[in-house]
Amino acid sequence: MSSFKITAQAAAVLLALSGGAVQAAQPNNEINTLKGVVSELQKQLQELKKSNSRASAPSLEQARVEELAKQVNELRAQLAKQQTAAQATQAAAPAPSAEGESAEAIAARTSATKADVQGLRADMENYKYDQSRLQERNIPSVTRNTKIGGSVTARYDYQSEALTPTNSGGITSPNHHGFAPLGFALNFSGNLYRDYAEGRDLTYRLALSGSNSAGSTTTSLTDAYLRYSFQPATGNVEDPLGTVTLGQQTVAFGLDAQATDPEVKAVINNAGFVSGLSLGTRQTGLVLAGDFAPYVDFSNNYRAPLLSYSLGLFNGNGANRGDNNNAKDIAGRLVYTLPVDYSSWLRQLQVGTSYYRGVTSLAPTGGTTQTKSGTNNRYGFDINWTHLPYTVTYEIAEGKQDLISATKINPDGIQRGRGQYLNIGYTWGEQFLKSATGVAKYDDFWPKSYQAFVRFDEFDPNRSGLSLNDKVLATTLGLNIFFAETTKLQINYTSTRNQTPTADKPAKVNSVAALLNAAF
Amino acid sequence: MKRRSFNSALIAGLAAPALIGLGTQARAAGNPTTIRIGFSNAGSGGRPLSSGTFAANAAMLGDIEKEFATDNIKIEYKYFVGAGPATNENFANGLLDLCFSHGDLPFLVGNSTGLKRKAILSGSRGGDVHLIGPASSTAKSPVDIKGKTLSVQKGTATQLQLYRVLEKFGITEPEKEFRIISQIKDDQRASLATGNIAGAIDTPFGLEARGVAKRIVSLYDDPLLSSPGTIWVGEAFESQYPGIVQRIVTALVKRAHWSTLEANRETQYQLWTRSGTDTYLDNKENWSRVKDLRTRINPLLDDYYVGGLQKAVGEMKKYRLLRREVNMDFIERKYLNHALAELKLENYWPTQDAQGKFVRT
Repeated sequence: MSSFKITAQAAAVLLALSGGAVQAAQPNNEINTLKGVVSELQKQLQELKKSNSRASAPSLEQARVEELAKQVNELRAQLAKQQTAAQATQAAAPAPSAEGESAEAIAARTSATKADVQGLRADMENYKYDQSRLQERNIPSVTRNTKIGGSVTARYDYQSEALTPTNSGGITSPNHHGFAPLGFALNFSGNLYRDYAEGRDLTYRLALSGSNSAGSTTTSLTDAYLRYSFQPATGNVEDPLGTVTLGQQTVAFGLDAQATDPEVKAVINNAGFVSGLSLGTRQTGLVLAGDFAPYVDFSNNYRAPLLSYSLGLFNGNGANRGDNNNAKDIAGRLVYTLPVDYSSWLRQLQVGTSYYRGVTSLAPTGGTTQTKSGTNNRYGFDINWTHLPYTVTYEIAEGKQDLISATKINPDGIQRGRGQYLNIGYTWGEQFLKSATGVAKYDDFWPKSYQAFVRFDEFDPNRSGLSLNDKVLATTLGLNIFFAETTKLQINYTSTRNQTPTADKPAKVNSVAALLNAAF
Repeated sequence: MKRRSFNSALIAGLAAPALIGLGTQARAAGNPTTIRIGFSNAGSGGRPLSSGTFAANAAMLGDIEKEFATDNIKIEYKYFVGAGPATNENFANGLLDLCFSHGDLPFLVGNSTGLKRKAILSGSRGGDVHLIGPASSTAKSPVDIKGKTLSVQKGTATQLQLYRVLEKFGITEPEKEFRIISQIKDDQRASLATGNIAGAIDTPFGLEARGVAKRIVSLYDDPLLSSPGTIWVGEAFESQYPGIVQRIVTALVKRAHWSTLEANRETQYQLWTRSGTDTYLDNKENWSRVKDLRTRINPLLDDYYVGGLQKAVGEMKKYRLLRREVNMDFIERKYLNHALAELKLENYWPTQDAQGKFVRT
């Protein structure tokens, strides 16, 4: 009977343990109870052994004793396991805090359990899966490193004189104001080869520009070139820069002629000489550009290359065209920047000179076959001082162009034009400071900037003494508002005087243009 | 261009400065509307957070905002990814009132070029310096990588620290004996991974764990390898709002005291980890050697602060990093002294002599 009692107790304890073993946190008093039961069983086992040895128990009793001994051993093993689990739980639980101890300090001496680590591992695996899924399904991919950009340009014009619209199509009547057709641009640029060791990278740029006119959209290629850095471009600002660019690109002549896209124009309309002297057009060719002896003021991250240069060889007949003759045009530009500290008032004082030697194929009016080859040279000089908030720019350019034949006002067969402008500006806001745009931020904050300016522009298409009073004079008052890194609103009031008025160019026109350029 | 037009242009140009009022911060007669505070560092990935100093703690815990909550004064923090030089540029353009962390080199060079500001607290001091190289490097000393490329963000205090480390190993003409290029920290780490630089000063633990770098040499708590960072206020702001400056200094000293308490050590590790500059384990390992937090978190403008900056001036001249003289009259102790007295902390912090030896412990 006693053996039955012992077996029943052992079974009850085993049942209790099997249920409790899966619980991570058994209260200490339960363990103590179990200890008591085991101890009681051990006691009873010893007594049974004693009585059996005295009575020379038969083999059945001996088997029962052995069975009991086995059960007790199992109970011991389970008890030990239970105690280990209880100790681990106690270690994982937050220790009581000492007076003044912070929650972080208590957390620092609280161990993580294996389950915590497994949970963290599962979280990481989930994150890795999410990232790879996102990468595969929702992120566009490219073969080579590529950056995509572009812009949309909207414009509204008002002029004091009613003029016949040139790009509206259909039946028109002279008007004073209206929205201009939207302009847009799309560009791709990136690294074809990144030289991690020396920074001699091979990059590319492909840009398209579109305009709507008379009901249709015209898209044309603007930039398309490969560029190789023959000087290391590792980001070390003390290193000189040097690149070779092959393809269709802007020509480094002066300052305003290079600002051909709305994204980079400070004034809505270019200076008169840019179109008057046929500058500002892209050309296809090879350009070597870079700088020498950069002066670096590390106290303000200011870099002033002593001498910047650009030398180009072009077809000379404009963008998106094959060469029309055997001659090549040459463009050269040198810019000297004063090597002074950022704190100097002469900071960013630059003097530049430009030269363009062009060769043109000439033919009589209406002809398409060259009958004569002529020169079409340009000379430029510019001086720019950008010491924020002040900006002063003066630029002059002259053109000397052979004509097919001598004319009444150009008896030597050469037409000479000249244009110049003076731009004085004042900028307030932080957008043009590297320190401000480089401020760490969580949001899409971008410092706004405002730029007020006045520009006096003059262009004389023919300086011949026999061609007097043919100048175009334009005074522009403007305000540029830079909302973000790439979004600006420009409002220009321009008073234009045409000394030789025509139907579409009255003697005096006052106009207001508002242009919104949003780039991405 | 006709003379009349040209004269008009000149008049317009001369009138332009009148617009300045539109660009500068509008200030009430009594209080500023905004206090603009800079940090010469930022968290990784452009996070607007700083770490490792009591001023960083003050910013993260909103001490200055709380101090001026009832005065309707906005606090604007600027964390400059471009480090100390960017702080100079921003201040030079009138866009900053105070700076809570500025290293010796950019602070002193900026002062030499005419930037007017007053040092009101010492922002940080001491620390370990590790020169690390690519994982494949076999160098055991800077001498082993002579002639190779080292990277540092020039114009920052780390540039001077690199030169001091090199000098400790007998290299006195660093620009001649190495090719030293200027890179920001993220680029330095990329260059280490690709093996394109032979060494840089950086915290090694995380990079070693990723297997992209290894330590060439580690120098622990050498007071002559670094000089204290500076917390400064622009002279114009200080002369206009001395009361405001005092309240800021008192709030910072109070937070400095909190930061030295052992009970808050772990809280700080957790705070600093938010910036992502160093991992939690890096912070813990870096600071576990500091048994008494007061020795590294110390706002005093003591002999060590003054001597450290004077030493830095000499070194900058020697390395041709300074083109003009620096007038050392920029130290203004009255705000600190008042705060220490008010908080009864006059004798709380240890003081060090110009060589970094502890005088009062």
